[in-house]
Parts: sequence; structure tokens; C-alpha cells
Amino acid sequence: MPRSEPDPQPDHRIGVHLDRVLADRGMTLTELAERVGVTVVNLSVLKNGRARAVRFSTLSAICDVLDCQPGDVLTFERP
Amino acid sequence: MDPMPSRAARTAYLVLTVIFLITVVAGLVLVAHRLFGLLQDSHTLSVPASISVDDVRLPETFEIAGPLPVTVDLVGPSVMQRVIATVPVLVWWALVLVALWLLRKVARSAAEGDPFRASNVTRLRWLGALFLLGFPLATMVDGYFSDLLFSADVWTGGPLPPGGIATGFQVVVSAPAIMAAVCLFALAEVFAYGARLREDVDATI
Repeated sequence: MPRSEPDPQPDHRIGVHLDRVLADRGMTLTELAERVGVTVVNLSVLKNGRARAVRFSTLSAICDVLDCQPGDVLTFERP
Repeated sequence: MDPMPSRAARTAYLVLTVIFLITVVAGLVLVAHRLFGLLQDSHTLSVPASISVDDVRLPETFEIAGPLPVTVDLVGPSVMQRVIATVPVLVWWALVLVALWLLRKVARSAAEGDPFRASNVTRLRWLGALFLLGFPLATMVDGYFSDLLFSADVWTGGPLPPGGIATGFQVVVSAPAIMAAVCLFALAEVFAYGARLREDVDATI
């Protein structure tokens, strides 16, 4: 569990579309957390765009479970 | 990242807490003694001082460097004399209490398994400032009030040694205090770096 909340104004422009991919696959966040091996709280932080970094191992596990590419979950948002 | 408390950190916190409580009680007793003469004959106030070695007769082969620490008994001290003698004690007591309080807080966070916090960086910097500035300041206050107590207007304890009382308003540069301050400031930067790393790790999924 994150000890402190990440900044509300993150210093990056990576958009996270986990909720969209979850909806497309008909999967809940809880189920994804269970299958990926990450806590629901951490995945929620990621889903809401409040994470500062994602481990490649976590990203790999997410893409494996959701059968998608990283680009389906993460996008770079131009200003 | 889950906290990882260690037995050593918990022990350190416990020891510091005990020392802090002892210091509180000892300070209260000492201040009460200085102000009201609780520990011994209430008509006598014992104060520390230093005298010149020239005022002490020693065998020729004996040599002492620097002033000699002595204890001076003032019989029938006035309220003002008691207050003057108590102020330095209060200043040193406050200094030690604040330092112990800050150390105890740092130890507590370590005992909880999460020492790398911004608050600990601030505490360590304050500790460094205490050593760098607080120690000379307390020494100056000590010297000033000692001068005042033994001044002609205030002292009623009989004749003083020919060389007078070897204390005074002076700025004391203490190498150990400066070294401690430098170490504490460096440690604060280490903790600041640790806090940044921790923040990054905590926000990493």
C-alpha cells in the first residue's frame, strides 16, 4: 500500500486507460488485481493516473491478463 | 513498501524515551533545588565556577592548564541570586530536552519501520542547528549569568579569590559540537535522499 499519495498534479503526460480495457474485457479491477498479483489499491492508483511509475513486470502481467499491448493501456498525451 | 521495524530501532526508541524522562525529572529537581534549596540546606546555594590556577598553591612540580572548576557555596542567597543561578540551568536543560525530543522522534519513526520521512530531515537539520548555534549560545548565557552572580552588585558570599572567577561572557568554539553539527547536516541530506527514493518507490506500481 502506498505510504503517501502521489502528487495530484503528476509531472508526466502518460494517460492510463486501464478502465477502458477492463470494460472491453468485462473484467473488474479486483479480478485483475488478483490475477496480476498487485493490490487493488495500487491498481486503483494506476487506473486513476496517480502512479508515478510502473514496473515492467507489472505492466507485463497486466498485458498478459488483459491480452493487450502496453499501448492499449498507456498513451502519451500531447499538450 | 511495507514498514520494516527492527528490534534495534525499537530498543533505541525505548532507551531515548527513558533518557528523556530522566532528563525531565532531573531538570525539574535541579531547578527546584536552585530556586528553593530542596536537596540540601535551603540556606545554602551551591554554584559551579572556575578560578585561576594562580589562586591555588601547588607544589612546584605540579602544573595545571586552564582554570580550575570549583563549587562555591553562597549562604543565605536572595531570590534574585537564586534566579540568576537558575537561568543557565534552564537554558542547558531546554537545549538537552529539545535535542532528546528530536532524537526520540527520529528513533520512533525508525521503530515504526519508516524513518525516511521529510519530517525527519527537518528534525536532523534542527539538531545540527542546535549543536552549531545552541551550544555556543548556552555557553554565552552561562558565562553571562555567572559573571552577573559574582559581580560586585550581586555577590554577597564573601571575598572572591584574588584572580576573580574565571568565567565570563565568551563565545566558545567547540570542535566536537561543530563536528556533530556537520555530521547531523550530512545525515539530514542522506535522509532527504532516502525520502525521495521512498516516495518514488511508494508511487511505483
